[in-house]
Amino acid sequence: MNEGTIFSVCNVTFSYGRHRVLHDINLEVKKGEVVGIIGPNGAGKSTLLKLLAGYLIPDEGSITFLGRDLKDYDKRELARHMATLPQTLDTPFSYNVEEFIIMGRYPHFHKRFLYGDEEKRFVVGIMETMNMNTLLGRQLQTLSEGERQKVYLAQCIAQDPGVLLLDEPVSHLDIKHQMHTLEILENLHNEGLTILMVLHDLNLTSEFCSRVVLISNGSVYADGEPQTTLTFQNIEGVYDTVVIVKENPLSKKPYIIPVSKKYLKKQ
Amino acid sequence: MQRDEGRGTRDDKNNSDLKTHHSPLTTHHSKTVLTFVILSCLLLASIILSLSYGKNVYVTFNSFFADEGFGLVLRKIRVPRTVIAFLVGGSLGICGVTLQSILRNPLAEPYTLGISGGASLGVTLSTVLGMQNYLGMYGNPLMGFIGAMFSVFIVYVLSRRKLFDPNSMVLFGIVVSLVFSSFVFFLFSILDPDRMQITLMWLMGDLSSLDISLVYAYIPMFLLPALVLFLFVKELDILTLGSEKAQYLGVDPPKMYKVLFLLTSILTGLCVSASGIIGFVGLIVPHLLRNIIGASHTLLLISSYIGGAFFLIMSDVFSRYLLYPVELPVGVVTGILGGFILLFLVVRKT
Repeated sequence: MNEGTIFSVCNVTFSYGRHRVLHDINLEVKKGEVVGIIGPNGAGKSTLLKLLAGYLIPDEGSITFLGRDLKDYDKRELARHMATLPQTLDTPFSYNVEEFIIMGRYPHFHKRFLYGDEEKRFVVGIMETMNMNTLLGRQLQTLSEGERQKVYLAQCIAQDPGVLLLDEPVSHLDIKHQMHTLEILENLHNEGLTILMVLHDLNLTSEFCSRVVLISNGSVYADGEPQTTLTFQNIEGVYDTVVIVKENPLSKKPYIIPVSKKYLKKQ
Repeated sequence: MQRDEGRGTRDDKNNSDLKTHHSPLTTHHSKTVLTFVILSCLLLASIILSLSYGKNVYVTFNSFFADEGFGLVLRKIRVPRTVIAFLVGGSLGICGVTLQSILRNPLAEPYTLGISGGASLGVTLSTVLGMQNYLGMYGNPLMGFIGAMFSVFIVYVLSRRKLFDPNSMVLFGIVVSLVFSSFVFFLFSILDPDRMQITLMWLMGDLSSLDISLVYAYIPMFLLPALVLFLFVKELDILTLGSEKAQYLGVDPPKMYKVLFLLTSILTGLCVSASGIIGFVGLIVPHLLRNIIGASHTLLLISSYIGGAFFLIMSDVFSRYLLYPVELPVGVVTGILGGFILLFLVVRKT
């Protein structure tokens, strides 16, 4: 086993009841990678993420995390190494922003009643680096979607994890908040975090991920750098949509333009 | 050059923010203290009122150790009655908070998981079988507790197969409660109505019929599970985010659901056995307090204990006072009071 290996997924198969969602998945994730998991709706991306997060257990095959079988981790111990942001997160009750973020300190903090001053300073520090001082003292319900997503992310960062798993972290954000969130993730990556995220936007994936895993019908269709995976052949094969792939003039990464059928008929 | 200047000002701003950062946390802290002081004062006032109503406070304290007359009434009747109202009200308050949080439903209450049905059946059977003849004053409380634990056991066994999934637990609770209640109605329909009068009173919630020696035996039994429940405030916060996210934050949801379900069941079972089915306390008190002090359980849980105790002691005072000299079942008073408060809250919100 290699030193820098974070995840080692070996022949993993998973079904919900009789419906097989993933089969024969093999994947190795190294420290410091930013992996974008893409694929059509229902391809099994979220399921793969839940398997990696230890929420679901594979029917067959094994997932090794930091050299140990994922199943052998205590939940609390795992939460010190890995933070996961699920696709939907809500609570019917009203917490304020600090109370919400400080829950991320739970796996590190063993006293039963109150979080200490050190933990509170930790939270304030995170809010500062994420440029969200203005949210201090606000109720979570009063925030906009974009602000709330940042608070969720801050809670994950409060866990001080080595690995971050995110399920569609920018899906319902406007471009400003999309960029801001992804830039925060980029900074975290520069500090040494390994990030795996499910994304829908192919162009954002191309821009921000060092590696792209393309999932189709429950198995890995392509895996590698954006330049080699985001080709028009792969995308058309998986999404059943005609696309034009150009080069982004600034980043030199692939830039994907979907083509509507009405233009195809003309030619 | 210009850029550097811009960065300079931003850093300055950050520094000044750093200095003022403590303020939200400290205001939060002072609000906490204030809430606490107000609730405790209310509780104290309600206790004094419950002990002294009809007499002035000065007379009450002077006659506390008197050997006869009002002193005796105080020590033998009013003090135990106030103690049991305190314990039951507080316990219903924290059970309500806990169940609302783990079921992630602001309308959950201590009886949501089926305890009331089992307890009712236990007490009805106690009357039907004439348990009072063998067990005397212990008959109803004991049978009520056994009935409650029987329904808990059924819900527990069913839920274990579903890994204590909150939604399944609610479903099992409702089914168990409905089935047991139907048995109770069946028994009521075939038996002599006069005999069932006491049972009916008990089912509506009643703080008056408990013997003093039993009250003091109840004190440690009530306080122990409540204290254990207070150990889980941080886990309760996290569980309100749903079982998936809770697991990602390091909580083991099925294990926690199981522990919290058992603790609240024991507490609610004790409440029902001591005073029958007193509705609305476990619904209205957490609901009101969440609006005032927020959802964080560190403060919410203890406040709900104090708030629940206050609410039930006050309701008990009203139940004695409203139609004097006739006493109303306290469950009727909490129902009417609580109903109006809840209605007011909901209407005000929209």
